[in-house]
Amino acid sequence: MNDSSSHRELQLEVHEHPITEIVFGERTVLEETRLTVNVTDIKVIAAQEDALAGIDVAVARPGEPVRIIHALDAVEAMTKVEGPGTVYPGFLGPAVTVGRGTTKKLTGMLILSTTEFPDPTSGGLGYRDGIIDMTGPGQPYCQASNSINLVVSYKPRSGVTNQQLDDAVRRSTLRIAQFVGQTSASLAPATTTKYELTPVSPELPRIVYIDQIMSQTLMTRTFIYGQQLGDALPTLIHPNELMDGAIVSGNYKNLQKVATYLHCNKPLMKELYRRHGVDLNFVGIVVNRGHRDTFDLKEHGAQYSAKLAKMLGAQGAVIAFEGGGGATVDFMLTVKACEQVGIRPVAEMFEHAAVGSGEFPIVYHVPAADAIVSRGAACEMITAPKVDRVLGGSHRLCLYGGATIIEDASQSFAVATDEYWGVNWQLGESGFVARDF
Amino acid sequence: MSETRQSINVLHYLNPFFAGIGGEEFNDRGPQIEAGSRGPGRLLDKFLENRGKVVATLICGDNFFMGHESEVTETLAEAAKAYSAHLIIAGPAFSAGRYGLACGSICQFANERLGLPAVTAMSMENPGTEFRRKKVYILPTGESVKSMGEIMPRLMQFGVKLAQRQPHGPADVEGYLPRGIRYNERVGKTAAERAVDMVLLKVRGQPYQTEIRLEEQERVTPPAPLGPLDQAVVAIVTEMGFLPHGNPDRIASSRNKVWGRYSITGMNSVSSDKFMYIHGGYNTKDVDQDPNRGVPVDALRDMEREGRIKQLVDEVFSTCGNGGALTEMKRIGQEMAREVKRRGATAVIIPAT
Repeated sequence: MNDSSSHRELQLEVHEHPITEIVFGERTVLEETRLTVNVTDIKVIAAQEDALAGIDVAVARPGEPVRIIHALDAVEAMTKVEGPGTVYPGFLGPAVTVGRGTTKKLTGMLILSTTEFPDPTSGGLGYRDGIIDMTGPGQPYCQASNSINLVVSYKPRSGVTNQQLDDAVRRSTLRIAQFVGQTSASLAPATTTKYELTPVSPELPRIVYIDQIMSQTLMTRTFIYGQQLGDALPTLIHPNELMDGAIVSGNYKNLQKVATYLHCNKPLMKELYRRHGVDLNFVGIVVNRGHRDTFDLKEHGAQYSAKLAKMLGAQGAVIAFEGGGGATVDFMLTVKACEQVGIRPVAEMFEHAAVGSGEFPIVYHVPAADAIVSRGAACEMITAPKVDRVLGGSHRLCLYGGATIIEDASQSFAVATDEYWGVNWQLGESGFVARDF
Repeated sequence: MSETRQSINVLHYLNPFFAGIGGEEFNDRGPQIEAGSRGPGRLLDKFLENRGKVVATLICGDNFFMGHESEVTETLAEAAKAYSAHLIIAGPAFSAGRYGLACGSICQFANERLGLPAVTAMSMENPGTEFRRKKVYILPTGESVKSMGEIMPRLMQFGVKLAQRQPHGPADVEGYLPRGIRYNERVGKTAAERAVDMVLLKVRGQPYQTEIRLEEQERVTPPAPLGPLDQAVVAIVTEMGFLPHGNPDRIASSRNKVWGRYSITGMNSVSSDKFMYIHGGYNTKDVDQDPNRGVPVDALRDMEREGRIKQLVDEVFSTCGNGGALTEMKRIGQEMAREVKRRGATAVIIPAT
């Protein structure tokens, strides 16, 4: 049995360099916890893309009266200093299996990309804008509101298509993330953590994470090693690969999305890793695509996910999903499929019904889903405060898929919390739960 | 803090049996108000201590209530006014079915029509529980009156909270039956931490508590098969968000609450010059290009001309289903069904997303 040696191949050391301040200056350099950014360096990187006409760069800090709109993605600044491949493989280098060697990460900060698409979008292809409030009542509802953000706002060259712009912004943002990450290359980290699925006591329960990802089409897609996740069958992935950026987001359904930094730091993955060898045995991650086109295809993906989990010897599964209504069916069928093969499933999800509405919170369920963790209801009316600065481009904000236009996003307005960026996942991270009253 | 609270006036609802008047023979007796407490009301007085008292008791036979509900609730309204009631307590009814139904109605009336807080108690098997648990606060009891001593202090304690308009905890903390009304709270652990805790309990065979309780959803019985197709009057009903340019009914692309009906009189097909789709859940590009791809007016007009169907109803009934609340969609469905039926339709085609 070479179980232990094959595991050892995927050993990743993560060096953390916490950032407490970002300033602009002559040279892009990291000193202690202070990052200085030369904006010209960032502009030079963006200029590699023909589709881009220019950029604005700004900094948004937690607690500041700042609102970010038109956001696409938020990514970790990191670089690989040892081991095969690059960070964000498939984009910044060939699709070489990552998750080994040493990766240096600047923590407490993110590179946040924003743009406005030139062509109108609608329906399932539609871009849904979202709000990131760095302070105020909306702050706990949005991803990327707890980090110092280097906000890069991209302007398209005239005549480019939505897809050309989307691709250019993503490549450029990942390059910037790597470039900024490289400032730590020769510095000693504040902390070093070794990530490895070491063999543990056979007494410990074997737990798998089934990660259902949203990937449909332009504006709602996700990439693994640079390739759009399409109709392929579910697959296995090692948590270390995620930490190196093997999964990159191109999903702009603001309420449902998982930003790239969150793919690198999936909460269930981190929690299972933290407890690996303590009170459980983390056996790996199954990635499935949700929103499959028909009920039969949903069943197919669900059955296959459970089978892969069974082949890992899983006794229990934690399952979460990115997406909304239709993806709940893929998700619940996966819960059922796990139960059928003898794996005890726990489902983690946000609630569809608005807070206090008295509506049933789930659009589809199966009897096997008798253990559900609630992240709370995503839709509750709050008042977004007036802010000093709006970052991201124009101040015109489209809410509810275009039904409401806020002409000046710096003003105070009433808003449903599901207009906040990545709310469906951030609810869970902020410790929300919905309870029956 | 030396805040003095107003003394709570409780109006108590009982049937003649629990009021100590008598059994079956009093079931048809009409409503009657008595000052002060009766029967179990004395326990309420005891547990209220100096916070208030039972100012009056409304007593009514269960059979009478079933046939004359509005008469009884009218009496309740008068008594509430006459005695300046702050709180209505009904029962407990334990497993007494008709009594439970009456207690539930009394509480709902107090909440909705009098704006007064109300609470009752009955067993899980009592039909009043199933009927009213979503509408009013019901504390679950045992089947028999033996649990009276246990339920009365809890009933009073929760009632006092309601009367003093204190914020109260969720159903599982306060001990009332969940009403399906959910509010967010923040707890010390992330969802991921709680999920991993829960899966370990589940794998080890230890008890665990789901955070979302599942409910059986309504089942829809399919209608009888359609007779001869050439006799069918067909209507198109859809949740695809089909509508004329300008969206006159302001149908929303998600969490929508309205519907519209759009004339296709004299049209052999629906043109993109006139019609479009609004929907946040699918890509509307193809149906916008040719609206007949969503609502098949062109094909149905052909069938109408060829006599394969008798008639196509000259309006399309449309809404947007994306993220819509179940109760709103149910209402929209019922309103559309009434209208479709009025137009003489014997069949509907429902292009769905």
